Amino acid sequence: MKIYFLKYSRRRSIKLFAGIISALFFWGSVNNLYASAENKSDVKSGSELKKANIKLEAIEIASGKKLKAIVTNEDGKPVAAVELHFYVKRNFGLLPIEASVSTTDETGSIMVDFPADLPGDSLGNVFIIAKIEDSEQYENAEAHKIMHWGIPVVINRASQQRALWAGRSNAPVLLIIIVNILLISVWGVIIYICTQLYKVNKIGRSEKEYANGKKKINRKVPQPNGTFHSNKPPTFNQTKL
Amino acid sequence: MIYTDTVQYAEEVKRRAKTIPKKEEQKFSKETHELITDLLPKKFGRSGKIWIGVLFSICLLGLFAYIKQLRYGLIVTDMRDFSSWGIYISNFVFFVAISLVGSLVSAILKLANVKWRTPLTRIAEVIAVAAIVFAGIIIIVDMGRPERFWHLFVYGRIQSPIIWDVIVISTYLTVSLLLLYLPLLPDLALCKNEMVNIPKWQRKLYGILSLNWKGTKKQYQIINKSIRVLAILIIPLALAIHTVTSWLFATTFRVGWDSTNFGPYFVSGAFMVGAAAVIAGMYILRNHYNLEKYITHKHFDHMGKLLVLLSLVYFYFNINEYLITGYKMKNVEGEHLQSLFSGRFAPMFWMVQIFGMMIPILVLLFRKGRKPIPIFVISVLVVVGAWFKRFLIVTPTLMHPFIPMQNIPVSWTHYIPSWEEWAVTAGSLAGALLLMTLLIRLFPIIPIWEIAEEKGLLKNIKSMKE
Repeated sequence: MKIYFLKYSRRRSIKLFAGIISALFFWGSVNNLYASAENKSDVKSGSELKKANIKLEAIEIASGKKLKAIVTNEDGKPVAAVELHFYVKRNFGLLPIEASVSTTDETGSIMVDFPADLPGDSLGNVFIIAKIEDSEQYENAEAHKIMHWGIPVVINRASQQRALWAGRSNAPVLLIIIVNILLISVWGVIIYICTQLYKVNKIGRSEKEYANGKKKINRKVPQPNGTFHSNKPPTFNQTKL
Repeated sequence: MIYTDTVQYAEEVKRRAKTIPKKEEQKFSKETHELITDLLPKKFGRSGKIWIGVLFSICLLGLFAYIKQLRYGLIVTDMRDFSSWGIYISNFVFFVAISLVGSLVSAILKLANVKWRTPLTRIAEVIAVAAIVFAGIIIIVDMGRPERFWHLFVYGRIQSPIIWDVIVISTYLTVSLLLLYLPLLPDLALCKNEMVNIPKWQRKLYGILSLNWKGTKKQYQIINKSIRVLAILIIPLALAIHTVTSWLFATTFRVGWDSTNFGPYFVSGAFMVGAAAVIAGMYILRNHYNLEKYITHKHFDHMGKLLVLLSLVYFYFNINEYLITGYKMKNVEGEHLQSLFSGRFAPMFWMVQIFGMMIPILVLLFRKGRKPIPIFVISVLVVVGAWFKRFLIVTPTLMHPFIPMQNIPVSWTHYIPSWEEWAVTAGSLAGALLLMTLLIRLFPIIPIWEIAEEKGLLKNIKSMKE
């Protein structure tokens, strides 16, 4: 099979952008990849491939841990000479656990060693997969098993803790509280002072308006009848020197 | 002041006549008129224009160098892998240090009920505001990509002392501006009402800034209360601003910086240089504007005593900083101290310690040393020494990294600032002086209303009457 045509999403040759476009853009374009076989007879239709079943067993013996897979056909009879791939699931893909591809024997079975030093999850569990891939006779098939065979991984979550060295989103709560209390109190006082400046301006404006006679006085002074009211204009100390 | 030069006298009379009402138009008593005449802002004379021209030229040169730095990047500086902080950061620490004087004179002395501080408060506040503005500017200059400054606010880690510094500096600048502005209100109204022959924009500016000040009792109550609140607020802020600046160094594991002494060491040094800056400012303004009646020998004497006290405190922290480390001389620490005591930086180190601290202490202990001329010279020595002291705090440490750097050019192991760095630094210093000069040109440098209040003349001035 040969890849002979790449369709770039903007109808331009991808070659033109080699080394220029970002990885994200590149893989976005690969979604539009078209492949074709030069010789179509090489490609078999799905209906020509036979179905196969895989039975995966985990065996623990004195010499170590082993994986045994038995491949059978639709009738349940063992199938020989089928290529099997063994993997362990990792975060971002599948890790092959045998260097070379193994093939089933006449009994349809195959046995591989499981490495003793493979890290598992935090409990030591590993997700094991046996696969038939791109076989010329059989359709793709897979079997999986979760085993407690891995080395438990203790994940260092120091960077995720709330600490002085952590990222900004993980600042210590106490620090955030202290800084915010300080900021609010200090800027609260500053805002209070600004409101006082506004008051100064307001008082001055009122005085100006009284002086110009534009505004009636509204100063409250005690009245003989016990109320507080007066429209008397303000008195200024006009000492002339 | 006695004029020995008739031309100088004629010039002074002419200058005053331009902005001060003529005698026949006066509405005040002789004493009040004299107070206003002496203290209202005056137009620049020839020397003032030359001063502005020189400062402006230095600023332009600095701007040119900075544009070059923006165009080609920080490669135009001599900062490399070893010395990643250079004179920009020394200058920044110097500006932050000098800005502390605002809190010393306007707040500490005010709350201690020190009466003689009145004519000095505005000088101190003007110095503080100009210094803190340029501290902010110079730190942006030190950034390779100034357009990313906003990232500090958006992506900054609250755990980082750099973010604390950004927060504290902006808060301190705001409070300093308010502490300069609030006591200016009555004087701004006076400028608006009493200054003659001033451009329309200037009168309008006074009008807007004076916030309709009418000198009512309530208005005085409000500003007096607000000033008191700000005076209390600015003291912890001043301590915070320079302590946090010291933490920029002390929180890193570097020789010479890895010290718990750094906070008080920086704060005491800052008060010392700030006091010296005020004394230098007092002397220059007193002579230039003939303010002998308001800034007297008594003020120099008191400020001298204050400076010697602050210098002694700073001296004490210097002993802690150098003697204790020097007693042990541990590995790289020892190398670092050796470069200061007897190595590459020794001449600068001893010049700074002797002329910037020891001699000032010795001279100022004597009454004659606190006379205007000697104390002015001493203050200039302290200010210049303080600038180089910041260089000695920043650079020698960077020359002694814990992890050896390999395969680098020999030139990287030295730091000799490029002409662009000197130009930008000189430009920022000139810019701060220019800002101070412009503030002095626009606003009364001695608070008229406070002096009038002390002399019992406040009721005589309409816009100021209580």
